[in-house]
Parts: sequence; C-alpha cells; structure tokens
Amino acid sequence: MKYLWKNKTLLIILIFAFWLVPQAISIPEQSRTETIVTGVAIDKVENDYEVTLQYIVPHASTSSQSLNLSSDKGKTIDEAISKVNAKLGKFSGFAHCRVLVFNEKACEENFTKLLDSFLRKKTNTNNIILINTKDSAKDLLGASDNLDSNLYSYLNNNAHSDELKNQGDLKSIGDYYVSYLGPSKTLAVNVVDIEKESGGDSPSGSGDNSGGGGSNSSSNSSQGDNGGSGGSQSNSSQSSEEKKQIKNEGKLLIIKNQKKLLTLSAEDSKNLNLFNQNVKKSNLQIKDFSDENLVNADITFDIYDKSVKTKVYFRNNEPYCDIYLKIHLRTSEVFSNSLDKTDYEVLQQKYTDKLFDEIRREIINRMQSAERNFKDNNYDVINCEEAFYKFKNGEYKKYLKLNNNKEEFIKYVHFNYYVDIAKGA
Amino acid sequence: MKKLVSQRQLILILIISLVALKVLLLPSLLAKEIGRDAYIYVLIALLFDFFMLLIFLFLFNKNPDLSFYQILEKMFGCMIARIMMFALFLFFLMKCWGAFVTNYSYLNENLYTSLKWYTYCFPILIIVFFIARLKVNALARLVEFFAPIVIIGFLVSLLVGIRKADYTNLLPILENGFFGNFSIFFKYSFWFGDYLIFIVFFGNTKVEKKFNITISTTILIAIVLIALFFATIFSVFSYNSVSHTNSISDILQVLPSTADIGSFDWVLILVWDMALFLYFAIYILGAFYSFRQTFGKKYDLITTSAILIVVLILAIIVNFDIELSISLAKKYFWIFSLSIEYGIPILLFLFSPMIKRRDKADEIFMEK
Amino acid sequence: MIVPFFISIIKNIYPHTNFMSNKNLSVEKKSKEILSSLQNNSDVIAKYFFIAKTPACLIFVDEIVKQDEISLNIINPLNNFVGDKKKIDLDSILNKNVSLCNASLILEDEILIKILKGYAVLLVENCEGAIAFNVVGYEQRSVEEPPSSTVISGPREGFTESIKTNIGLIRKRLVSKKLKIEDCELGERTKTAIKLVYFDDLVDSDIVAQIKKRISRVKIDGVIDSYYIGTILENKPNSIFRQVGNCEKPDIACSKILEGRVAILVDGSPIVLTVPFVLIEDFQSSNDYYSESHRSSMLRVLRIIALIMSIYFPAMFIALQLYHYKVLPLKFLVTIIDTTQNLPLNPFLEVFFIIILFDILFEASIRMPKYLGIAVSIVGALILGDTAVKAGLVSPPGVMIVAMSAITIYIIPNQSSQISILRFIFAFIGGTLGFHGIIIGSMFLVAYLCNFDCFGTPYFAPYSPFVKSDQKDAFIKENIFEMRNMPQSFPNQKERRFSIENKKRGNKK
Repeated sequence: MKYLWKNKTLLIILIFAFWLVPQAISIPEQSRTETIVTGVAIDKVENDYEVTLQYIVPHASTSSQSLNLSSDKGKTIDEAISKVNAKLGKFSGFAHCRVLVFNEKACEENFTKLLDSFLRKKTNTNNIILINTKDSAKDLLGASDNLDSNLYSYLNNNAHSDELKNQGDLKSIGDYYVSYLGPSKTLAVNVVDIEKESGGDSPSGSGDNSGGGGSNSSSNSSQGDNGGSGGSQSNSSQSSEEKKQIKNEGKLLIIKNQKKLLTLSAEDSKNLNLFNQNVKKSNLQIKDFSDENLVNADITFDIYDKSVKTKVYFRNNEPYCDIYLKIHLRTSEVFSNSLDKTDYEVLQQKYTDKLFDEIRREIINRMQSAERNFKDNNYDVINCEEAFYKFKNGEYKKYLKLNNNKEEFIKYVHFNYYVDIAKGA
Repeated sequence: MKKLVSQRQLILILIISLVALKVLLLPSLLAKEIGRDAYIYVLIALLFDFFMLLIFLFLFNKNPDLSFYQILEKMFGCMIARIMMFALFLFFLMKCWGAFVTNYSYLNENLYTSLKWYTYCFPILIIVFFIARLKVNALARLVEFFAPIVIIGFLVSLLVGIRKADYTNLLPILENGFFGNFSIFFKYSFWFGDYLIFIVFFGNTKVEKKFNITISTTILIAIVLIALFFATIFSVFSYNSVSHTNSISDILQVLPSTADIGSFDWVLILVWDMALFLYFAIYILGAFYSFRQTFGKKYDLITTSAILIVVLILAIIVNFDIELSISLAKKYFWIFSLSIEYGIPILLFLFSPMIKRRDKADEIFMEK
Repeated sequence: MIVPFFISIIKNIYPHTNFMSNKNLSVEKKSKEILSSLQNNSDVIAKYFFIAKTPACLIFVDEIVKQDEISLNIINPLNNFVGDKKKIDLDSILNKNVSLCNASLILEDEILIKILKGYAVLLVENCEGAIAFNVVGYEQRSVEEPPSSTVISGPREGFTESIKTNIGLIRKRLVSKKLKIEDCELGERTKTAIKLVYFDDLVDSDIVAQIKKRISRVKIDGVIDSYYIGTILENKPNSIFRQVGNCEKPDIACSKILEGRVAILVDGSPIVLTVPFVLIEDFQSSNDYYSESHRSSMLRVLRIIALIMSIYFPAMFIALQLYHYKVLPLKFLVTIIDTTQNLPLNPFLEVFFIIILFDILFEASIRMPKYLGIAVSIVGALILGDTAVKAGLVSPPGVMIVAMSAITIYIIPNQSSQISILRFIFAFIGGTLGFHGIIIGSMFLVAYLCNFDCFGTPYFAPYSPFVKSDQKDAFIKENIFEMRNMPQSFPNQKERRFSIENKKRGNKK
C-alpha cells in the first residue's frame, strides 16, 4: 500500500484499470452485436424501397460458408435498413459489404437517394460496387448463398478473367459521386441478370459475352430469416426446383443526372468500351474478307491490350476530339471455305495492309456507332466534356458562353479516330 | 548548458510537428472551400513557414548556448519576453487542444464503432503527464524511436496514391485566380506554424556538422512531399469527392487488392495515432516550457497537471466535436495564430542585432 | 614510553615474531580458541604434530579442502623440516619447507576467515600469526555448455560456480597486460568474492568507480548469486527491465570486455554480469558472430518480429474481436466467428485463461522430474489443445495465438520474464481500450525505457539515440571486418577496433 502511495502514477493507472475491467469482461465480441453484411439489394416496390441484406451466418464447420438474406421495406433506404436490423436483432455492419444491386425501377428517379445513406456511414463504403439488374435485385443477390461464389466473387473473377472480353470496369459508389459532381454527371453501371432454369442442366449462358466463371447456383435462400443456421443449398441439377444462374451479357446502364437514361445492349456496350482506357480486352469480327491469302473468310481477332489517348482542341470555334487508339490483337479464329488446311502461319505473320485497313475500318465503325448513340441520347460517359474543361478551360468557357448549350455539349463535338494496330503472337 | 537533444532528434521532431495534423482533415476542408488548387496555397504557406524557420535557425546559430527566453530577454527585456512567452504558451495550448480533439474524431470515425470520451482521454492524459515529467532527451528519444515508422507510413500512403492518381484532375490550375482564395486560406492558419516548436530546443541541441544545411534540406523535402500529398489526394479522389475526411488513411482505399484481403488503412490509422500522440506530447512540452519561462520554475508538477486539465476542459467544452472545433479555429483563432506565426519571427529578425553578448544559459529542464 | 615505541617498530619489521608480547602463543590454547569460535563443529579438524619437536597445529574444514594436498605438500615436508631446528619460525617454514605455491603468512584476525574459505591454517608454537595454505577443494561442476546458450557453431564452454575457474576461462582468451582484475568482497556471512574484469585502456574509468562505489555502500547479509549484485548496480531495481547484462559463456564475456565493458564475476554463480547494458544485446546471440552475417541479420529481424508477436498478438486478438472486427479480412473473420460460437467466456477472459494455463504448464514442466515430462506434455497437449477446444471452453484461434506467443517468448531467453509480464499487461490493455490502448501503452513503454540510463548509456542505443557506427551490429549484422569502430553507444576510451592494411597501396584503413 505504501509503495502504491509513493508511486502515484501507478496508483492512478490501477484505479483506472479496475474501472475498465468490468467493461472488458462483460462486452461480447462485436460480431455478436453486428451483422456482417456482404451485399445489399435495393428494389423499388410501388413507392417503397425494399432493401435486402445478404449476411453471413456463422457455422460450426468452416468448409462452406452460407449467406442468408433478410429484407424489409421502407420509404427511405435508411428506414428499410433499420427495419431489417430490428428483424435480425443486430446492427448491420457494412465494413465487408462489397456489392450493391439495384433494379431498374429503383434508379428511374433520384438515384442519389439510394446511395446517400451508405455514404454517410462510418465505415468506408466508397468501394461498394454498383450493379444493375433488370428484374429483382433480391433474386440476383440471392442467386448464390455461398461465400466462395457469391456475386462479388463472381464479378471480381470475371473482371480479371482472360476469358471475358467485354466486361466493363466495375463502378463503385465513389465513382458515382465523382461523376455526379463532375461536368458530365453520367455513369455507366454494369448490368447483370439472372437466368432462371427449371430442372435439368442449365445452359451456360447466352451469346459470346457470357460470364465464364459461373457460380454454384442454388435455390433461393429464405427471406427475412433471423441468424440461424440456414443450411447451404446444394446444386440440384436433377431437381425440378427453379434454379438461378447469374448471367452477364456485358450490358451497361447509363445513369445521368441521378436518373436512369437507357440500357445499352451488349453490342453497344462493347462499342462504347472501346473508348474506355480501363477495358483492355475486346474482340473483333471481320466477315467475308478476301485478300491475297484468304477468300471470303470470317476472322475473329482477340484484342488483349489497348491504350486510348484523347486530344481535345477548338478549331474555328468548334470543339474537336481526336481519339488515338492503339490496340494489340491476335487472331483467335479463322473460318474460310477456301482453306484446305488450317494454315496457322498465314495470318499470324502475314497480315496484309488490306487486312489492317479492314480492322481499322471496323473499329472506327464501331466507335462511330457508339458516338451516334451517345450523341443521340446526349450522355457523355467517356468524359469528353471533362477533358475540354481540364485542358482547354478558357476556350471551353468562351464556347459555352457563346453557344449556351452546356447541356448538349457532347452533341457538338467533332470526333476523329486514329487507330494504330500492333500485331501480337 | 547540457546538450540533451541531437540534431537528428530535432529534425524528426520538426517533421512530426509539420506532418501530423495536416494530412487528416485539412485536405477535405480545403477541397470544399478552395477546390483543387488548395495544394498550391498549402505549398506557399509551408514555404512561408520555412522562411520563418530559417529566421529561427539564424538566431539559433548566433546564440547556440542561449535558451529562447534568454534571447527574448536580451532583445526586449523581461516584461515583453514574458508576454511573448505567454502568447506562445497559448499558441501551444491551442495546438494541443486541436491535436487532442482531432485524434478523438479520427479514432472514433475510423477505428471504433463508438469511443467513449473518458476511455480515450484518461489514458492519453496520464501517459502524456508521465512523459512531460521526463527529461527532454527522453521525449526526443521517444520521437526518434517512432518517427521513422510515421515517416514510412506517410511515404507508403503517398506512393500508393501516386500510383493511382490522375494528376489531370488538378486541371485547370487556378481557375478562379490566385488571390481570390487567399482570404479564405488565411483562416486555416491554425494548421500551420508548427516550426515554432523549435524554440523549446534552443540552447540544448547539439550542433553537429552541416547543421543548417541538413535541417533546411530535410524540412524543404518534407514540405514538398506534403504539398505533393495534397495534390495526390485531390488527384486520386478528384477535388469534388465527398467523404474523405481523413486523407492519410483514406488514400489506401484505392489499393486494388483492398477489397480482397481486407483494408490496410487500419495499419496507417494506428501509425497516425502514434503521430498524433507524439505531436500532442511535443506540444505539451512546448506549452509547459513556455509557461515555465513566463511564471518561473516552481511547481512543475502542478503546472503539468494544470495544462493537461485545461486541454481536457477545452475539449469537453466543444464536446469533442470536430466540426465545432474547426469552426472555432477558423472564426476566432486564425488571427491569433497568424500573428504568432509570422509576427514573432519577423520581430526577432528585426531586433536580432540587439543581442551582443553570449552568455551561458541556465538549466531550463528539471532533471530527475 | 620509549620502550613500547621501540617494540612497536620492531613488531612492524618482524610481525610474526613474539617479541616481548603479552599474548599467549601456545598452539594448544590458540587452537582451542579457534575451534570454539567455530562452534566446535565436527567438520573442523585440528591436526596436532611436531615440526622438529616444536608443537604445531593444522586446522582446516574437512569437506572443503583437498586432503591429498595437505598430506603431500604440507604435513610430509614439515615432518622433514629443513632449517634451524632450534629456531623455527613461520618464515623459514614458508620459504624453505613447504612445496605448495599458494601459501602466505596471515595475521591473527584473518585465521578464522581463511579456515572458513577452505584454507588450511598452520599454527606454530610461539609464533604470532599463521600460515594459510590454499588447498581449497570444493566439489564443482565441470565446464560444460550452458543449457540456455546453446550454439550450432562456436565455443561451448560455459562458466561454472567457481570464480577461479571462471577467471581461468577468461584469462585463457584475453592475453593482455592491460587486462585488469579487481577484487571485492560482499556479504557479512558469505564473504562472497567478486571480481571486476576489464581492460584498463578501454573502459571508462567513471564506470568502474561507480561500480565499486555501489558495491561498497551496501551492507548485506549474504550474496548467493550474481543477481544480488545486478540488483545493487541497477539504477531502478524495482523495474521489470534489467539494466545489467549477463552471460553464461566466456566467449561472450570476453567479447563484451573487448568492447569496453566491465565483467563482474561472483563466486558461486555461473552468470557473469556485464555493464553497461543496452537492450539490443539481448537480441544478439553468440551464434550471430560465428556464422554468415546475412543469416545473422535475418535472424535478428526474426527475433524482433518474434518479440512483437509475443507481446502484441494476444492483445490484438482480443482487441480485434471486441472493438475492431471490421479490419479483419472477410474470410479470416468468418473463421474466427465460426470457431468462437457459443463460447462461455468472452475473448478477454478466454485469452487470459489460456495464458494462465500455459504458464502453469511451463512452470510445472521446469520443476517436474524428467521421467514424468512426457506424461505431462501429453496431458498438457490433450487438455489444452484438444479437450478444452472440443468442450467449447476455448477457441482454436485463441489457443493458437497464445501458443505462438508463448513459444516466441523464448527466442529471446534473456527477456523472457519481461516479455511474459508485458504480454499480460498488453492483453489487458487490448481488452479494455482496443488498438488505441495498445498504441498508447507502447508509447508509454518506450518512453519509460528511453528514460533509462545505465551507467551513462541510453537503454535503446544505438537506435534511439541513433548511433550510426553501431548500426552495423544492431538490428542487422555486418561482416566482422566491417565493424571497425568500437561501440559508441556507451562511453569507452578507444575509437577503433582494428585496421586493415591495404596491400596495394600499403595504407592502413
């Protein structure tokens, strides 16, 4: 006691320690008071928002991890989440939330309303990926109830996969706000759907743009259940129950001024992605081509790398945008009736000038098609206006003053395309 | 006078005081009011601080054995010297309060679901009380021990940001002109003027070879890196992005593998917790030193406790609310900080020829 | 008055001669006095014999002398006395008759101490004083490798409890006229011999003076081990951190002496103390100096990582679960959640429970008879590792974390007790305050240690304060030939260790 009295710092520390010990003993682990949410789905149902949270259900066995869904409705997103929290009996922790799915109806007006609640959370939610789906966001989220093959894993694998050529880069909540607060106010969000199959083996997806990864599809998880042991639903390929498979055709949803503008088809998205520096991969088809080596051949090229540079300037008070595209491609398929044998070396080493020109022409056509699309629909997802704002600020402001057409600036930009092709092995 | 602090320790103390508070809230505050050009203003303000530091270096070299108070005494006399020391005491106290509240908000926002104020306050205050009672070389060694970790954390954060930065987001430069934002920028003077902590180490720092060049070069590099950090933050998140209130840890969110293997920013949050603690400890020492010079050497224990209690009370008054603290700093404290940061060095420079004799300094820190 | 004056002068010249002294110099009476002073213990032997008809008595303690030496080198020669048989005095016995090298004349008041220290003391009729023969023959351990300092390559000799042997081991390696060995003695009832060993031209004289001063101002009953001396020398003896270095091997002691430190040897202890001490010494193993420098550097870094693991892992485990679960990667988090389902204890109590169990197991294994060791380890492994987890009392991650922490403590054996205490403290802090508390606690710890000065040496040197030249043997270890300067972290007199001649230019570097 005397020793303690002499050493006052130690005494104060001990007093403080005894005060804190009961607290430390009594508080449970945070994971018991907070739900670990891995995905959010927002559906607009009449005038309400239905928010579905996909959360982890603890299991004794760690071999497979199952995810449950719980949803509720509310006038606002925050209200709906509070109701779900009340249902689950825990707070929702969004620290591990990776994906936010919304259906088309939810983004028809005031898209920012969907995201505002997430932005204001303490945890970092800027990296939550935005995904649009046509029908039910809840169904898409619940298409996989396994942690190893949930929606986010599927998308992430696809984004890095060599097999998928048309996947746009994934946009997050942070990206939305950057574009919303910028000049263009436009964002392109990936569209992922579900293909419902009943019984038997399901097809592997439509078109040549389908997701190569595929997930372990399973039947729908229970709705509105509390924590419990919701068992993982195994793949029942022989059962007659409805099976859901994630289908990614590479479509894009354009959101402008907080509203949905339009959904681009897979083809249009592919063309638009040619402008996108982050989408390195694509493919190209040339039909009915003839030159000194080939007659009426259908050739498919695989673009495996690409760089896009933009140069903006004014000429005669008109805005011009030169796009310099450098692509690296290799031949992936040749079909020609005239070929007796597959002459592998013909196209690998002997690209003729005519073929190069044809490739350029095809690419420029596609880019012009995309240009027509965004000019007709008046959206600037390629950030052209922002480039003028940054690099030619004075002239840009002068132009706007003179022409008073800020809302349709993109329509008056003249695009020139320059394609450089580097042939790969 | 015993030379308790080495040149390297002094440099690290100056770097910590320069960097610690600036890279948290300041970037987003400036982004909201000034926009993407804020890094230019920050660079200019830091260069001004650097010039003031050069004035102090000049004084220091002229009188290597005198304490700062003795220099003031020789220039202005006892009364004015005490008034100036008291003003510096208030300045340091303000900085302590700023660091104290900022650290609380930083931890509450980033690391804890909810952090009770007493759980945060009392450990820090007890330990800073203990550290303030040590010799100054013990504190200098403490800073020397942790400063490299802080510097590495800062550089990692900067490098990650540079990798992902699109510097074209800084264009167009000075769209609204240069002087338009200057009046706004003056209100942020609270966050600058950290070189003033140098006064605590007058007279007890070992002058090694190339002292001036080493300090000047290192501080200049630090200033450039801080300005680059601001530019990088604005480039990465684009000047108009919303919720990046704690830039030093937010910048790690752009790591590509962040989502897969967990967020790394908690490591940097802990490193910056260290930096803020060191900053707080250094400025408590500064406040203690200036108070002691103003009112004499008695009752050191009471002085230290009183300073800490005052900081705590000031923090409780604003309810640990960072928004309120910032608005107070911008509304009321900016004039005071501006006059201290630039007024004192300029006065010193003008009156420096008045010091004629070199006398030995008396012992200014207690020894156990 | 004049006569006593002259008597005193003559006594100074011939101290052992009975010159008009009033003292009774009868051997029989003297020996009986001595035996009664020694409690008439049965192991104190008094052998009476004649040296050419003059009575003499040899007194010694039976268990601690070499009987053979007494017979061969003392009694036999004396039985064949050479010299003037009418005038037998101690000088003639010592100089002409005894073949034992280590014998000396002693005064009356030294007789008892010498007997108790293992000397054989010879009393001769009518001679004042006595002769003490060094026939000390304690049973002692042989020189073998100490269990806590095993090496893969390098010397394997270790110190023993005999100070004489230990000095011999040092002298074997340090062959220099500048080597100084100073004697001290401490302990009222143990009279423990203490020796300070250092190089006169290397060590800072203030350090030696301080050591002697601190030893001399203490009045203690007995000194059993060098730990007592260590406590006396420390600035803050109540601190859990030691401020005095120690080693069990002569090669380590010699290398420290060569660096300008003082080695303190204590009779009865195989642990040799060295001062000044810096914390980095505990991260240096003798193996580092006898193997490749890259490997040594890697191991040093590993030791630091092990230190961090042992202190912080339990604390972080608790803090992560209670306050900061969101920083864990998802799959990690899921694993932990799954395994901590339905546990009766919260993480704070769980970790403390496991730590206490582990410490009990370790303590039991030290004191256990060896033949029971295997049974206990099986029981420990089963109880802790398997049954407790299966019973749902503790979680596997918890057991794993604490086990890792427990094992990594012993990578730095000299700091094991400190680390185990710190582990408890930080686990407590982590549980009550979370990560912020751990950071603040670390700040406090480092600040506390930065305030340590051991004989003018900062505790964290050469890292804080930064000493550039010592970085070559701090957290990384360079080649021996790169370390040309003496350590600058503590005061010493010399700057350079060695120099190498440049063969081409003939210049010394």
